[in-house]
Amino acid sequence: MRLRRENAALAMAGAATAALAAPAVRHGLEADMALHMLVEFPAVVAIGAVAARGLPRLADAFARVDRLGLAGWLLASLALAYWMIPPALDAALAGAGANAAKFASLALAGFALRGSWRRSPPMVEAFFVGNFAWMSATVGLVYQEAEAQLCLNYLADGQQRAGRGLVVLAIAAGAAWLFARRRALGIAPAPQGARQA
Amino acid sequence: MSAARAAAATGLRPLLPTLAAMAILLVVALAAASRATAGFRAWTTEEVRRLRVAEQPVALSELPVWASDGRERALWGGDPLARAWLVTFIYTRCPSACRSLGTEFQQLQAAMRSPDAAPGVRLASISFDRARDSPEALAAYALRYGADRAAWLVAAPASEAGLERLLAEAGVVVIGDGMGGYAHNAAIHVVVPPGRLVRIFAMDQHREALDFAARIAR
Repeated sequence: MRLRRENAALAMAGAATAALAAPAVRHGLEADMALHMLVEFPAVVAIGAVAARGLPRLADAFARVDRLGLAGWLLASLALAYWMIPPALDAALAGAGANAAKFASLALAGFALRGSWRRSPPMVEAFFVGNFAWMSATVGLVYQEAEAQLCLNYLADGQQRAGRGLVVLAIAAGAAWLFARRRALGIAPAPQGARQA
Repeated sequence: MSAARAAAATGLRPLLPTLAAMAILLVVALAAASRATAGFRAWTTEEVRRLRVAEQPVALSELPVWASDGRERALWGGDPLARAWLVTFIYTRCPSACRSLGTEFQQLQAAMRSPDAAPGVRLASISFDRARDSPEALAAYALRYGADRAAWLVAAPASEAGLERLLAEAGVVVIGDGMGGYAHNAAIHVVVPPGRLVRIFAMDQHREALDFAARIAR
């Protein structure tokens, strides 16, 4: 039963990877800066998280160096921050190697986050989620402020849209975290019987 | 008991592998970010390109072109008198950036006529729109800006492969602008025969570009 669930998760991650890597889909997403950053990136992170479900042994091995979820949250923060740097984004479009590194690092971030999410206390999460929201919003504002093209592959109007999207993402990420942890944060009451002294 | 309190209760020791992993992650990420941004000095691809070229000149392959006079020739070493080329990328239908590049090159051409100007400097406007920029279209462009054939070459690569190679080597990216035209790095490239891209100047630094090329040509 458990094995079947793991295999199903792996099959799902594999199918999603194949769909995303198909040239028509990938080029369609990557032709637009907003789709690239706000659809493709989260999709790859999600694939990593689903894959973690199918690879419990590997996830357990990672747990040993991921006390309190610190390493996983850090990995996700760094990977997402890196691919917001315009020259890095251009490099991913210019070369297959850089694009493979992009897919790998974002998938790894999702893989790590799935376990870290269970290990991290709200304080750790508050730090990383807050940091990400601040970073994403700042980068989003910079993208909107910039008059010149930051990337050689994206026009200024696409950059504006991506910038607005990043600000929305920052707000959504903060809100989603508050909602997901509403009980631990005391925003919503814990269900009867689950409360601990 | 929360995980944080558990960690505090057992001391820092169990955290060490995690801290080591975090240190490795930080080092890898900083190294990658430093590489992408030329040591955190530039945050756009174009700025990074200019810094890299200034520090490490880039070799350009020989480039057969057809010119506005209808003749073929080979850049960058085909003209024995040329010591330094100032190169821009254009397409002749361009309404904005290339038009201002045209007028800037006009000013440079005028400056190059002065008696104390270095004789070995040449201008080159290279079209990346091979499909439309026939020798006739290039000739019309040359005429529009008063390009003097001896000083200012208006040309297009003779083959698509040659064009692709040139753009890749120089780090120039041409994308559709959604209105039938193109967007591309607008800059002045200094190329030394037989094909070394040594410096890239912003469009509004055309005087500095000429001074730089003149120092090489002397």
